[in-house]
Amino acid sequence: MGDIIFEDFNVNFETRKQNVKSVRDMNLTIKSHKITGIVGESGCGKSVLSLSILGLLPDYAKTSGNIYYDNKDITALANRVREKYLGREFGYISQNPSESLSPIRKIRKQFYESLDLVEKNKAEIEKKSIEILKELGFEKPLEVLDKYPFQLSGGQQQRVLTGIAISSSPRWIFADEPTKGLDENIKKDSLELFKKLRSFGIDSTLVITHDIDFAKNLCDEVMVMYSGQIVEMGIDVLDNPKHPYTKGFIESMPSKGMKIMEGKTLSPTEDIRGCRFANRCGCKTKRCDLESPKLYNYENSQVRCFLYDKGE
Amino acid sequence: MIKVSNLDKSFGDKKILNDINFTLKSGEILSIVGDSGSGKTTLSKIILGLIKPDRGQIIYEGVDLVNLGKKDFKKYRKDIQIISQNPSSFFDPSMKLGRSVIEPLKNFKLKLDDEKLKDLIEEFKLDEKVLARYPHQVSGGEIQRLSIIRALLLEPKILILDEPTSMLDISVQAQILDILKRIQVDKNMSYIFISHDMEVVEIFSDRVLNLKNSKLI
Repeated sequence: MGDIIFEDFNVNFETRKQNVKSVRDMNLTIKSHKITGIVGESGCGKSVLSLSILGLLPDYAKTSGNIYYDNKDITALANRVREKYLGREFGYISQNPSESLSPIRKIRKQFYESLDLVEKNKAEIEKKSIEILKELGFEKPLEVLDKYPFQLSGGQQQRVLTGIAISSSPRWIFADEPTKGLDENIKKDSLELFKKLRSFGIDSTLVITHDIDFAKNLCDEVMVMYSGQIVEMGIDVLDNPKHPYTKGFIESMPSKGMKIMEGKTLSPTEDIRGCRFANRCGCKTKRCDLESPKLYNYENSQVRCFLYDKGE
Repeated sequence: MIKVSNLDKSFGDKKILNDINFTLKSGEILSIVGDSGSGKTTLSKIILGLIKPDRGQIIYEGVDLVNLGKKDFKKYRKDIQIISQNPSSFFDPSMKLGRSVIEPLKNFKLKLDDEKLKDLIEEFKLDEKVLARYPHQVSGGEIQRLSIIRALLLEPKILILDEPTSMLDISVQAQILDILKRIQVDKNMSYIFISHDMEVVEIFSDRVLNLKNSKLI
C-alpha cells in the first residue's frame, strides 16, 4: 500500500509546431516508506514526473498510460476527486520558496489554509502551527506566524514551506529541488530538515534534485533520469554508477574536476529507434542505434544499457 | 580594466559594503565569494549603475562611472553586461525567446549579425528551435544559455556572472562554465564571477576575493 506505480506513462506538451515528449514510456514503482531521489539534468522530465503524480500538470499537457496509487488509477479520477489528494495524501514543497509563498499574506494565514484540511478548531490550528514551527527550529514561532515571507531569509522560507506541506500530515512529501540556489550553510540545514520528516510521521518522500551530495546523504534509493526516461536506479547508484550517463553526470561534479560530457542531449521533440544517450556515449555499439534498451537488473541496480544485458 | 575604490553602501542602518577596493585586470576572471546576504549582488548592481553607492569610485576607461548621469553612463553600459542566477526574470514571458535575445541590440541601436547568433547557438549546444519558444517552454539550462548569448551579442568587455549556474544541474554547469572560459580566453574578456560555491570558484577563476561582514578580505 502507498506505492506509486507508473504504467506505460507518457507526458507530451503539444504546440502547433512541435510535440515535446517530456516523459517517455515510464514503467516504474516508487516505493513507499522510503526516501527516493530523482536526479538528472535540467529539462530531463524529473519535475514533470512529480507534477504528474500530483495532478498539477498544465492543461496543455497530454498524458497517456496510468499512475496507480493504493490500487486506484489516479489519472482516471475526476479533477475534483484528485484535488482532494493534495494535502491529505500528497504534500508538495516546490522549488524556490519565495515564489511559492504568497507575498501578500502573513505566514499564519498560509499555515491555516493547509491545516484547515484536517482541523477546523482555530485554537487547535494555532497550537499545531506553533508546534510544527518549533520542531522545525524556530525559537519564536508566534513571531514567524505574524511575518510576511519577505521578512524571512531563504532558509527560513524553506522551513516554513516544509512546515505548511507537512502540517496536514500527508502520506507522501514531494520536494522539487529543495536546495536549488541555497548557499552551503542553508543546504546543510535543509538536509537535516528532510531527515527529520520521518519524525513527523511522513516516511514516504520523493526528492527531485540535481544536488548529488544532497541525494547521496538523504536518499534510500536514487533514480537517474535522462531525456524523459529512468536510465538507472538502485541503492548505491551515486557511489557505484553503472550507466555511462550516470558516470558522466557524476564526473561533472566540481569535486571531480567538472569534466564535460561531450555532445548534446537529444531534443525532446526527437524520436529515435535506439538509445537516447547513444549520440553522447563512449561505449556505443551498433545495437544502440537500432534498439531501445530496457532496464536490466545488475547487482543492486537496474540499468538502461545493453552493457548490462546478460540475456536473461 | 576597472578599478573600484573606497566603495560604501548602506540600506537604512545596515552597512552592506564597507570600503571596498579592488581592480579587475584585462583578461582576468576575478571571483567574489561570500554567504547569502554578504553584499555580492549589491556590488554587482553598483558596477552596472543600477544602484548608486554612498561613496567611492568605479574607474573604467579613465572615467568615474559613479558620477555619470544616465545618458553618459549608457556609452559604457554596453561594455559591462550581467548574467543573473535567475535568468527567467530577465525574459518577457509574453515574448518569444528569439525576439527577447536580440532586444538589447535595439537598445544600443546595433544590428543583428545572424551568423554570429547562429554560431553562439551552436557553441552553447542549443537547438535553433528554442528561439521559437516562450520562456516557460524551455528548461532552466536553456534559458540561462540564451541569457548568456543575449549578453555576448553586445560584445561586452566585462561580464558579471552573478551565480550563473547555481540554479542548474552539475552537467549543464560544467558545460556552460567551459564555454564561458573558452570565450573569455578567445576574446580576452574580463569576468567578475560571483559565487558561494568554493569548489567551482577554485576551478574557474584566476583570483578570489572574499566578501565578509561587508568588507573584502
